[in-house]
Amino acid sequence: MTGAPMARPGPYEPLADGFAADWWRGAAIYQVYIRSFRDANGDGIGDLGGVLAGLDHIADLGVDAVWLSPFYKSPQKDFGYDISDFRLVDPTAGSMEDFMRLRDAVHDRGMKLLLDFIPCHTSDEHPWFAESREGHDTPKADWYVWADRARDGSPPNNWLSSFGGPAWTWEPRRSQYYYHPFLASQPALNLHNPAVLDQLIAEMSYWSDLGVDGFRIDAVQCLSWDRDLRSNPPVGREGSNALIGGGPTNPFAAQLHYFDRAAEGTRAILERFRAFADANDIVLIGELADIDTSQAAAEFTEQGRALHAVYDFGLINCHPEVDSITAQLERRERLLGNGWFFNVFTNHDTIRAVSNLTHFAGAELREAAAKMLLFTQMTLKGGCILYQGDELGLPHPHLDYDQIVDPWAKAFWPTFEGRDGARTPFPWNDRQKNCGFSKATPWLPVMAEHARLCVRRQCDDPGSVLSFTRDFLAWRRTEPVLRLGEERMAGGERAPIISWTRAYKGEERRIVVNFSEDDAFMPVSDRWRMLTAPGCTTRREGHGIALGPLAFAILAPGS
Amino acid sequence: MAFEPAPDDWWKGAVIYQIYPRSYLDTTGNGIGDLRGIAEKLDHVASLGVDAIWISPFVKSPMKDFGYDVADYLAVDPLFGDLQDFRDLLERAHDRGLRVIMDQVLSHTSDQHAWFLESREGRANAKADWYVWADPKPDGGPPNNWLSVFGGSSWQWEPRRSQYYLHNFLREQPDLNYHCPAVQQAVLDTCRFWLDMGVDGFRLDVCTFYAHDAELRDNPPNPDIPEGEAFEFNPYSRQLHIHDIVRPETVTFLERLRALCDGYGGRALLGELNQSEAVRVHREYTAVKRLQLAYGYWLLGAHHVSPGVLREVARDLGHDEDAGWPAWALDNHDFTRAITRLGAEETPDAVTVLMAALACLRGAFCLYQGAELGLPQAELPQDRVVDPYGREFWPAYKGRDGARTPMPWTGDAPSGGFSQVEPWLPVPQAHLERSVAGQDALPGSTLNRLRRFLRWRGEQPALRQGGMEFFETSGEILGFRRILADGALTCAFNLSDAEQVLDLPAAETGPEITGHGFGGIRRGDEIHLPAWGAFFARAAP
Repeated sequence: MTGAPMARPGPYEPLADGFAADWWRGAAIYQVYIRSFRDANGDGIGDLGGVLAGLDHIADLGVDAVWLSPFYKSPQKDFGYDISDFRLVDPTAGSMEDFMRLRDAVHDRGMKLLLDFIPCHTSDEHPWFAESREGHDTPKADWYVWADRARDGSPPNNWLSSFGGPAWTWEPRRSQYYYHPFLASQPALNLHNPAVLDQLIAEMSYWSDLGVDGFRIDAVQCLSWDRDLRSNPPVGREGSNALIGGGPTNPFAAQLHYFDRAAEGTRAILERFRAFADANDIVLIGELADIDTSQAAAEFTEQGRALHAVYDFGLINCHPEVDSITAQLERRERLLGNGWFFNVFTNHDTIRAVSNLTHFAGAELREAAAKMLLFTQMTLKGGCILYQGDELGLPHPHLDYDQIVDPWAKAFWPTFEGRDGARTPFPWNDRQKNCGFSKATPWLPVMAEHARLCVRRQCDDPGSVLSFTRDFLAWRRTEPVLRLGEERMAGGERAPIISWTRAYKGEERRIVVNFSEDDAFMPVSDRWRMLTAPGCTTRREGHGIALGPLAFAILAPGS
Repeated sequence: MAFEPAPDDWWKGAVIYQIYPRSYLDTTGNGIGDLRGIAEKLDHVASLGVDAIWISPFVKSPMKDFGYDVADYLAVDPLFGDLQDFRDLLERAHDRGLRVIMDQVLSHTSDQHAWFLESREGRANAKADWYVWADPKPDGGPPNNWLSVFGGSSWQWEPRRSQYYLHNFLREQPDLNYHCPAVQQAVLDTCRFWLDMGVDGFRLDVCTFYAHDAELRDNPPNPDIPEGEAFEFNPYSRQLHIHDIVRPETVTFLERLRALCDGYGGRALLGELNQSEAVRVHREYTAVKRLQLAYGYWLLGAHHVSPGVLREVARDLGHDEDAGWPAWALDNHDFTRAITRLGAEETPDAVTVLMAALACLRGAFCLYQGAELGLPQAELPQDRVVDPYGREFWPAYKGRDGARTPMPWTGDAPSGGFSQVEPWLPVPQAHLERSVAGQDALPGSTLNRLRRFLRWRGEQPALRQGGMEFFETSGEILGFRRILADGALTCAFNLSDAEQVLDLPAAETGPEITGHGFGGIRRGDEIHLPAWGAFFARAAP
């Protein structure tokens, strides 16, 4: 079904109208988790030089942009999401020269460059925190979230860390607690303090002046918190809660996070960021978690005022069956308004999509499942952020306790295996040591089950998941409706088929996906014709289309 | 000298020398002290004139709290040797007339103990209630407000059970559930194992922490925050610890443990008590059929010790015939060394006389390794700190490592003959200058003065077992009599840096006794005490 690989696309040329001039709308973005992509300096940890060495692989996919996971100076307690200096490159990731070379190479290949930006907290080794913790009289005394103990010595309220334990840690230097929504080594910045907000914008400005095209903003739900520090109410027996990480026993799920997540003030902070972004022509894509993200997505991306777009964990964390996935997509569509939303099925914080959303598919169907998920991700409204390894259809590996390094997994093991499975090294070439990732012992093991799915084996196989990804992204460029079109989920009970339409400037497309390992039939009126697109079922059968297990199709009006 | 089984009350007035095995002597070349190292240095111990040694934990442990987190009560940790090494040590100590007291950490285990590994797996296994498990509050938080001594909540989430477990110290130190009869039995069986082997007693780590309130009631806030930098830094001091510790079930268990020991004869229990309500707790825990000896933190945390303070504590604890016996301690592995804490780095004699006084008060006296050398607290840079307590509260509290550095046997850098390799904690230069070998050769050294005094003191039955009464003195002098049927022994200690004169006719004290080396003399009706000196006299009944 797949044709010969197409030639690499040229630099992206914006469409004519103003809406389409936004390069990021409906874009395909590739997320690089640097520590695990490719190790150029031989220390077992991926680095900027490795991204440069592997950049043609990314460019060959035909994506519009590259998002780099954090490479700033960090003690790596949370593997870079704990920054000790926003303007320095961590030695494990390379040097500033490496960054400049990579930036130029990305731009030379016609792609945009997005950096990860973590405004909610720093490392406890950041000089700002070192100063703030010293006492009440330092200039940075209120740069972090400090609070007195309760009368009995306890923390000021019941807030919990989503990584386990209370969200407050005692600082004996100040005789006060500080707030940390994640690790104790990640103290929350006080973004209600205008000086902090100014400083963060200065940090972003440093990188935008160096030519980056935008930022992925980490944990937008944690930008603000209740200034009265009110305790969260319990969920209660009848209550429901947003789906959260950390496994089924995370006590964090027992609270309604009214006061510690997406609290009042978030929007004002985002508007400050947006004013900076508009002045500098950069894009801001936020990560949303822990809350009812469909609701928050609309508020935080309302056109032109706050973030350009967000992505969330709604699909990733929902019970992966047709009804709940359909319901999730319908709800999002209903609430989003004129906001913008990227589709993310896997990222460095999740289980890999093939093993999660299509966990039901046996090993022999895994390739088909991977293609179906990529197809879905690339045809839903919003655009997609592909996580490294998605293009290879990598399954999520199991790591033993003595192999894991993720502090989140250690807190909730064995009911939660954490994030290391999505972070094992990228398999380049099964004929080389460590699959070509590194000459040294990798920081996480290269999984044997990933070796046979390596780039070398897939790149010249026209039926591979990798070839499908390249081919479909190339074809997608010829279809503005898939990039920019409005979306409407097809109503009615159609399990195991999920179907929706996209419409843009008079063009219309109907997308049909068999989200099961059974054969499925969907009646389709004669006014729809099958499009020939990479990987798609193209044959009509009677009054509809017959879809094999995990098959998919695109239809257009006409006969 | 062969070991002669002494009467059952050998512990009365005993001098107990505490050995921290990680830091005594390394014979294997791993930078960590071991049991053979202790055995090799028993002649040093015996030369001090002490009656017993208390060895800090040497059983199997992941060493998160340096042995106070036990993973197997019945095995010696490989770092320290094996059971045969311990048997040898026991025999060699007994050969020298030294009793051996073993540290038992019974309030909690390591989270690597097989009991805990089984208990945490689920709510239905045979050891499901061997630890203190509790459901979360409706908001997901811990079941109550109890705090860990070492920082943070004393409740840790266990995803395997979807419950919290209690830990009064590190999260790697889950608390045993003393409301469970099988736990009490298992602990008693543990103790029986060592009693059968021949140990002469147990030092019981945090023995007021054994039982907890089964209803898990919140502790009330503490209206009177204890003063002093030893507590201010720790939110733990903001609660009245009436529900998490010192529960009535604990002394009931201690009575069972005492009965077990009494079945052997000549075995002693030395308990560690907690800070708050220390006097009441001491009286309760050392009552008849409970602990023979106990120590509180009265002097261990003090920055100033005066005759008034000592009199007050001794009176509060009681010293009539029925009163329990305190174990006086100025130093141990948990507190800043007295020389530094009391500001005596330039005047170690100030602490030497204090130790002499404590050794003469009614009670036992605990002498911590290195105190016989007058070692000051070791100052460690932050990157050498390994104590989890110090890491948690740095820099307001720098932890316990400074009292745990290796023994300086010789003046040789870098480790004073402690080890052939880099030791686990550094040996400071100031300690090398006060080494055993160096002081051994100096007649007036702290080491030689203490040896002389403790040997002299050991030959005074009244100082071991006599009753006690204080007499009136000036502010700088501590004066009391120890009374036995065969007479009364008068003791006077000058705790100041200036000569003091005490009006006390010979008719009241009886003839002066010499040989103790503290320089006090009688002139007519006056007793002249040099700075940090002492005077002794004995009157017939």
